[in-house]
Amino acid sequence: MNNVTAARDSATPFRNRSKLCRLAGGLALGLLLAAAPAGAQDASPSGTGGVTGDQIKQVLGLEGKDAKALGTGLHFKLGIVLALTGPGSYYGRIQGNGAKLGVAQIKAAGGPDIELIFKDHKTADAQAGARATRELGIDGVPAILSSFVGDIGAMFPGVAQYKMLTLDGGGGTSDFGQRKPYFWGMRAIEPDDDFIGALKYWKATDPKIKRVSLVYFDQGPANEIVINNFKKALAETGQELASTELTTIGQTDYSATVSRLKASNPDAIFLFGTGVDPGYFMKQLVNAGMKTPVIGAEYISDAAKVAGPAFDNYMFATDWFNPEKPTNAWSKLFLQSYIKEFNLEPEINAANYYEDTFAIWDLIRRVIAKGGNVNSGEELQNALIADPKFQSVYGGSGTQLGTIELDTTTHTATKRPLGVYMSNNGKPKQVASFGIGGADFELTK
Amino acid sequence: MSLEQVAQLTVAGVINGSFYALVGAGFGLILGVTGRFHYAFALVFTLSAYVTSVLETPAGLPMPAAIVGGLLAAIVLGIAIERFVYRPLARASGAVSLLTIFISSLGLTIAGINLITLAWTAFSRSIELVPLRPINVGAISFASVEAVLVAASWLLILALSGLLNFSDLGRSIRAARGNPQLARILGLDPDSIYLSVFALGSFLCGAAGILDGARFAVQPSMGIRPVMFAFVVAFLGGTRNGPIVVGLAGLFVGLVESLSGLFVSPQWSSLVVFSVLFIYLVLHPVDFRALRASILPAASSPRG
Amino acid sequence: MDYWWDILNLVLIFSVFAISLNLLVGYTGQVSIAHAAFGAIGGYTAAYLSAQIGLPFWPALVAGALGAGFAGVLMSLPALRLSPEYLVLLTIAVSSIVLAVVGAVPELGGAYGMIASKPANLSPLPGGDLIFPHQWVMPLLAFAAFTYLVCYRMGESAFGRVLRAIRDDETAARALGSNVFAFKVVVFGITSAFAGLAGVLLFYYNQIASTSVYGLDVSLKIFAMTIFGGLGNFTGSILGAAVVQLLQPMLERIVRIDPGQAFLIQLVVYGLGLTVLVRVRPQGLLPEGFSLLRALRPAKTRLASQPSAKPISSTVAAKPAPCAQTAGAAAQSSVILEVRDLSKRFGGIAACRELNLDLQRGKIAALVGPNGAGKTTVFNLLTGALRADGGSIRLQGENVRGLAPDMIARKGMVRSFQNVRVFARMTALENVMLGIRELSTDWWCWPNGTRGGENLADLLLLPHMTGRVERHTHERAMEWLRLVGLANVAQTPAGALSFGQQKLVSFARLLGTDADLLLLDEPASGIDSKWVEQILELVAHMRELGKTICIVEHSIHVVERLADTVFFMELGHITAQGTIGELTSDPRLAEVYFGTV
Repeated sequence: MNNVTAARDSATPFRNRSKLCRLAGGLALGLLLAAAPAGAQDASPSGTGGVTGDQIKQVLGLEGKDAKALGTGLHFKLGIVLALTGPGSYYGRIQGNGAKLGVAQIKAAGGPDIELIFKDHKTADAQAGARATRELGIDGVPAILSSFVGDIGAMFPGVAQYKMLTLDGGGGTSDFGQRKPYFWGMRAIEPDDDFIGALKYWKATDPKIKRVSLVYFDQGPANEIVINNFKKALAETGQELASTELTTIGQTDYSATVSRLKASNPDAIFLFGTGVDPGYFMKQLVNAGMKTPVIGAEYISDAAKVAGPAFDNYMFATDWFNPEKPTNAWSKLFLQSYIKEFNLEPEINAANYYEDTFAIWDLIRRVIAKGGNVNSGEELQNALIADPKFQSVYGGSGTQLGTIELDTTTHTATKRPLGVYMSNNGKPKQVASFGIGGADFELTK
Repeated sequence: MSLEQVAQLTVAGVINGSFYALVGAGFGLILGVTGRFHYAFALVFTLSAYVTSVLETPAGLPMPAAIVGGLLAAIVLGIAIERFVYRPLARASGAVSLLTIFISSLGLTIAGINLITLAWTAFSRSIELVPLRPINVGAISFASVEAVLVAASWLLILALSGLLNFSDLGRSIRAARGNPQLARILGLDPDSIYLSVFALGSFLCGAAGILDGARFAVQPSMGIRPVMFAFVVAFLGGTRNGPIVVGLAGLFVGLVESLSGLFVSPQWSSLVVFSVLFIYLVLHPVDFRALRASILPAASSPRG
Repeated sequence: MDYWWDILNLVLIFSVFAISLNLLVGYTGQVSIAHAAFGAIGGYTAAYLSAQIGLPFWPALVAGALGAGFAGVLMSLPALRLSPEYLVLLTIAVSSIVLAVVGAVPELGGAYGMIASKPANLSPLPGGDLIFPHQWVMPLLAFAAFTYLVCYRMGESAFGRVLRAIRDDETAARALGSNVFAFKVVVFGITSAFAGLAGVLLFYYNQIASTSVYGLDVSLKIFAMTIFGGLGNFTGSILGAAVVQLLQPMLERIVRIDPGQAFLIQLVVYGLGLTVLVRVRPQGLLPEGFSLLRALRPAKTRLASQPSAKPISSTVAAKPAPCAQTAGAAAQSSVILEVRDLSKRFGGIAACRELNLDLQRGKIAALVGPNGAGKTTVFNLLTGALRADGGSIRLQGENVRGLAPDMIARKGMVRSFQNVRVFARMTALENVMLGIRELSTDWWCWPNGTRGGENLADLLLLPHMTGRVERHTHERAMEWLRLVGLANVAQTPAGALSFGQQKLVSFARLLGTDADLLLLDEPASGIDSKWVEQILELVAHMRELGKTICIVEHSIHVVERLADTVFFMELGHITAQGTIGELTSDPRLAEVYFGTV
């Protein structure tokens, strides 16, 4: 092999380089131009969804507050770290919608001008999450809305270091995210708080169900906690554990799991799966000819699309936002404005991030009332600890808004309405309701 | 561990194995003849599934037309990559072409997959091939689409094998695979042979993508794991061997992966597969090197 | 400002990855896409130890690097005999195994990984806890500089020369006496250790170790950085790391549209960027061997390559006595090589049947015979490139059958190749320098049993001695090049030389090994008569220098000119022996040799 010709050949790219650079540049430019219109469709419809500032103030009980108390004109940076790309981008999109709607309505109601600073953790990429947190910290952002339990914990060190008050309305704290400084979960613990509702539902509707299998995805050391909590819930309802099956997030092939379930033959299955995974699971379970009733911990429309008709009998128990039955006046306002703004029905992810922006506003108002610095994450957290309660679109009734209450030690929600739902062809239908700990369980008529 | 469970897992292994066989055969053909690390195989895989899915809904074409569309997209993309990206790059890279082609392939895949996401969003789509129904044979059950997958995979592999063994094009391809320099001397044009090989490999790849999309779902990262398995299977089968041997290697991988579920939790199954691969590679040189040396006595010494 | 420090920090950490990968891929030619997986071993080791037993930063760092290095050594063992494609496959397997293990073992955090229990602290060095990006800059600069210096020292030295020889032609390197396996193990171990180091740094910087931090895509990213920066160029690796790492933040600042779309577009541009950039500059940003330092020091190297006068000069410097050669008693007997009953079968074919051969010291013997007689096979068997089935081979009285080719070469029997096999991407001078070594049996003279630059301990710890040995080697190599008349092309890549010149280079490097017995495979074939004459003179001169030579030749003219004894070989067996005159006068042999004329 002669290196002279090789050397000569390597000179050729230099001759063609300018052509290639132009080609590349043209491609990139074309791309940007092509994407811009597509982007523009999605580019921050920052509307309030047809709701006026007065309506918001009225429903939240803020009439009569002056501009200063509401924080009018203040500029506030709110970080928001979501799964914008990757397999979980469904969540990022919907959660972002909720936040955008909230921020627009807050401004219209005389609240501060909240700037949402979007960061992408690429669906549970730890490095991206750590980096995003660092960037927000460097930028002096005092508060963050996170997801995926602080990007599976990657954000914990950063939010503590930079003292950024972080609310996670997507994953909450789950089991492994509790008691972390500056990190607070704004929903029930998944899946532990769901167990009791599912088991009680089966107990009430089908006493023949005795042996229940738990299919859950790997959370490392938290697995043991999950299993123990499941056993505790079983003890309460008098059912027993048939088997436990471990899966991984993002798993698409459940043939091994299904075959093991066939062997252990449970009366019912509790499925702790996230994202589209339940869709794949149900598809394969049903196609294996198994008719075992399944209650899961999550529902997204994407999963239903994947499963197709296999999802018909899928049920789930969680702190779901039910658009069919908005419980209080604020929920109604949220529902109508969301539909108007996004042409979609809202669900849990949108609702949580929507109300969490209002929680941030609440904290800002409290800090202002104390004469403090709203741009200090520390002061925001102190305001939270002093009164760990916020208004919520969940629960309540009529003009009595719902409330979410947090535990100042574990940093997770102690009060949250949950329910059991049937997937019902894309419009989940509530069949039971219960509270955290299984309190007030009742079947829906 | 019951007989039923073993049987069920074996069936699952055959199904997965057939899929691995198909992607392995397509990838192996390309790798064996052109020597290119065609990572963008994942992109062809994904695009084919997306085109089929989009043609079905919302474009509303009947299923066979959608499939044809998807396969055409795969072939066109595969040929375009070879013609416009790999070939000029190989000429320019000289000794390091293996590596530069790999990198450019990687870049294409990243760009392509995200373009697909931009165009059609990351929300999962589906492909309707056959009505989804469970099929029960005794205590074993599988889905109708899985039966289609197994049948289609082996039909395609056999067809490819037949093409390679009995057609003129196939003979030229096999000549180029065995000894490219000699083939060139004998007047076979490697450029057009490479294009044919990419067309054939991409055809198989596209078919695999459509089947996978129908079996699971169509989403942007669907090609990443298959291309990894295609690579592994192609090597296990041997890049100079025919598609049927490669296919059997794929079947073997699928069975190992599936049956490992009898002994370990499913999360460990990929560990089992790669450990088996590792052990094979540790033992591999001992068997084949002497063989190769004996086949080529005129060469100055066995190459490592 | 911290924003930019943050980016710089990541560039520095990835430079450690890219530089070490360059040593492995660019210099040694071992393609690995498992580099981030070794980072995982380092990072998880540090994470586990600091969480379980509260190990502080420095011990955790060392533990992580050593753990990864050890794993690299383990991976290298099966890799030693694999061809490049299979090596890539092995690295994929290793990467997947490592990630599967760390991602599933609950003690290592399972799928979610491990969060750091405390930040990095450089104590006993000052600086306190490293929390904010600007605090990390100096330490990371130091780590990157350390990596660069060590890898540079290894790469641009006699050690690196052997690595590049392994890259270019492993078999030829082994035939020249380089213990290729040992070098590979060392390089894998050291580069993996550096990857582990970078992995620990990444863990402390991000305060989390998880499979997504060290996934296959990260390995591919590091690989892209190395290729794109330029194989065989460490400065290029830093540049490559910077470009790849900067692409995303740059795009973030430029492309300002809806965040969801923006991130996707960034990735598209990143992917296209990789493809276009590697097309525009396939050899990488900085070509091999390019160095600012080198560019500022032209004078020294040019002095060495003065044009030669006569091709064969008798002013050859006295060869330094080969030190520590064992078995001196039999060294001066008249038979330097004694072969008895050598046999080798390939399946049903006997390539070699009870072959007997005696080579007289200081004489030229020729091995002739029809095609397919097995002549080159004999060379392969003698030098250990092929394993014989039976018989004995005694070199200077010592049995060498079954020894590795590099061992035999170091014991004084070397061979040239029919198709020359020069190291094409190395200069003629470097080719010759590869053959030259100063042998020693000191225990730390490993892996090659030499002193000087090829010896890692000497290279890193005794720079003066190494420099001296290197200069000496340089001079001797130039002398051999002058002898063969190629001093004026000393700095030319061997691949750019004509075939005849390459043959001369290969002879020069054989001479450089100081081996007593040279097996030359068709020395005069494939070149025109002008060159043939030159080579014949050279071979005859080699005899004058005291070498023993055995040539395989087809040309009767050459054999007549050179050979003292001729062995006639048919179907794997020596059937006649004598002078060329005796053999050609035998009618049967003449017919066998010339075939049906």
